Amino acid sequence: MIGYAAGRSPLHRAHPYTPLAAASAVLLLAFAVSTPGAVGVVVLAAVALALLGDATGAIVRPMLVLVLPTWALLLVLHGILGGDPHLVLGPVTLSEPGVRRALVLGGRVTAIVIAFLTALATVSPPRLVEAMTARGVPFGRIFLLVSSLTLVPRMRARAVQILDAQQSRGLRIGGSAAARVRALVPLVLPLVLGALAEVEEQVLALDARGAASGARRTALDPPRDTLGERLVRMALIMAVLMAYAAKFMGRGA
Amino acid sequence: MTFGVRLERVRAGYGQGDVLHDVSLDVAAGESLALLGANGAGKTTLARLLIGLVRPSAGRVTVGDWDVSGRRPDELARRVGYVFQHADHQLFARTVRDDVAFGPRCLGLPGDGVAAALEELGLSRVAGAHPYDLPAPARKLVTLAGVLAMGAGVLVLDEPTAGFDHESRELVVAALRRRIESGVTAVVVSHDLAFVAEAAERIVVMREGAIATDRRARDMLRDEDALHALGLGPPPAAALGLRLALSGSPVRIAECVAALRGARWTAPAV
Ligand SMILES: Nc1ncnc2c1ncn2[C@@H]1O[C@H](COP(=O)(O)OP(=O)(O)O)[C@@H](O)[C@H]1O
Ligand SMILES: [Mg+2]
Repeated sequence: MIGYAAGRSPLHRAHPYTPLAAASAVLLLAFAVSTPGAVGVVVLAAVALALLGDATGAIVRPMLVLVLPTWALLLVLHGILGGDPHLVLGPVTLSEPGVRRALVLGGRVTAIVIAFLTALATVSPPRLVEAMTARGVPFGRIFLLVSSLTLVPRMRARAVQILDAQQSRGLRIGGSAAARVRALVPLVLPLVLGALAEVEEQVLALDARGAASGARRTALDPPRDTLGERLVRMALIMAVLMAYAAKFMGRGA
Repeated sequence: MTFGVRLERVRAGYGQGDVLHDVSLDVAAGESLALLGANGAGKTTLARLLIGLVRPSAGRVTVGDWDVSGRRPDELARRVGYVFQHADHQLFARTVRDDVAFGPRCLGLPGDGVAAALEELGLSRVAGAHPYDLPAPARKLVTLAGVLAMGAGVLVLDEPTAGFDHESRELVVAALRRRIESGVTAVVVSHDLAFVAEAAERIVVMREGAIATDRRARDMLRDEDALHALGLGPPPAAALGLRLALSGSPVRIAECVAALRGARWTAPAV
């Protein structure tokens, strides 16, 4: 399930910016490094983040769904199409530079997906709204960010409701393959049309609430930010800067 | 065809614990019942049992001679027409007319109820329009027409008039009354007491997953203390009847008018 999963882990209790900063750092570090070993370290860091957020249970399925096809595609593409020398592994012959390339690309994708699924799972949207409001971020921008963070769970909830509604109108779900195909249109179209109608209504509602007025809002109960967390976020920024400095000084980490 | 609805010692929920605790309720064929209660009291859960979208974890739910637990929602749709609170969860056809025809087509019914349902709810004029070009209350009327066109013997309506103007509400009242008079059983979840007054004979109040009150609508709608306890007040016709001490305990507009016409009116001395 992609989206917030309630919990009491250190990441859940942290200021909402901290998990987001950690995920962003993983993203930037993944692109700063370019050897399979270094990418492996970034993947391990992402896994550690997921463990810290107690998020492994929540993210394992979407992670595999997103990552496994990527790996398969990369290994096939680069392993087969890459140049010499070739490795012979039993019945298959794979390009060594191709496999290295696939490991780097696949590792990057894996690390980034793990880190962002963890951030999504541990940052509560209402707390993020409070935190951003307290920092004076304009309401319209908060709304855009939060509606994208909560997009997947909302779509999922809507899909369930559509399924219920159409079955109640006599639509048979399941049965023959042809029946399944016929059932797709009444299930998929309302998902898209309903989402569009919702966006339109939300924009109107935002206007009505003066979102564009630029007036500063007051957070009711902003999440607490601690010195320790600020230091952690500073350290993440430093690590990213150092990684890029090393990369551009030609040592490639 | 019309059917009664019966819940016998039903427990039901969504996985973690029961939402409905041991609910028993008998709605006779042709009866019209309104469900009231605070948010989260379990009204929608009870309604969803009737179409098989929530399954009882204990007890039995029957619609006529059908036990719902043996049937899928699309089978139950032959007997139970369910109108959801949110219209945007089901509209998809290119025109209002096609969308209203979807339910009857799924059930293999002749489409002769479609035009009638459109007419009843004042949608004939927009039958060729795209449903999403209509404002939200009109989209909701379209979903209602789609269910009426299926001709079910039991109608279950979850907040059917929320957000409606007076005219739309009157259309819904008239359509529902016609169904009830022809023997259809109606279960309506609504906080709109003006609507409840016109549409229901009986009121059940739910509290924390159980039935707290079960009374004649006429008595409940004139009981200001009981309504205040729910954060509600008597609907206009009932309030007027109470203030003027009209005979016949009117709760509907027409009853109020009849009582006023029959009353011997003397202007109060100033
Ligand atoms: N899909 C669901 N999953 C889990 N819990 C739910 C779901 N729908 C409703 N509930 C819970 O069941 C209880 C009763 O809800 P509901 O029947 O919708 O009440 P009402 O319609 O009276 O407002 C509430 O506590 C609600 O949180
Ligand atoms: Mg409800």
